[in-house]
Amino acid sequence: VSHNFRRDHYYSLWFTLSAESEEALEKILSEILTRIGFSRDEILDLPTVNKIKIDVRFPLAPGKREDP
Amino acid sequence: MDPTDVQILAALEDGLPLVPEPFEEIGKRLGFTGGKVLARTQKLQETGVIRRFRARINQRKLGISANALVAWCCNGKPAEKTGAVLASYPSVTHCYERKALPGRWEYSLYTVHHGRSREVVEEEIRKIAGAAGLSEYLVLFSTDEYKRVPHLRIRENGRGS
Repeated sequence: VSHNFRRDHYYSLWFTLSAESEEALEKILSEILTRIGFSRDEILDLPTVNKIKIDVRFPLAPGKREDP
Repeated sequence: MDPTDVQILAALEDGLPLVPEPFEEIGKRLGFTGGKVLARTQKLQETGVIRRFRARINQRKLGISANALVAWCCNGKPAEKTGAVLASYPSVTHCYERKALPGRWEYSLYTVHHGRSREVVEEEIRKIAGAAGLSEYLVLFSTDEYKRVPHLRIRENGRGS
């Protein structure tokens, strides 16, 4: 699990899970669900189809416009 | 990639030591010369194993405390093209296409937005929605951050193929 955030929604806990293979991912997810006592239909499993962009930059000077 | 590369990657993931000769320092820890660490690191960068060296910034310390994940419903629009429009905005730091769950969850594009306040972020999202021609979306602001680390950590999940 690389990211785990509480968010303002009925689905209130959002986390990202990555593993070496689909099988490994499935195994970890099953283990998590067992440990937290949730069933598949109580969660949303949203596998990545395409990583379109990952580019985290922040404006360093306060008061400047948001976009770098 | 051999075990030495893995050792060096693991040391680099802990951060570049803030000393005049960081590669010497890493070499000292691992029992190699600094020259060897540097040469291996250059090779790892040339082959694309290391994407780049950069600082990991704590955005909250910069006053960027509003963070939203937006789930977008494409409503028949092509996901790839629409995703490219969303991704073109500098304020979008992440843009992913994910599998929808027909009948349960119709959202297939996800973007992450950051800003100094919810209002700023909401305004930006409205602007982007207008430009992309999307009207059905969920704005999910984070209220607590329990974990935020890189996806790949060599010691925990990086030893696979």
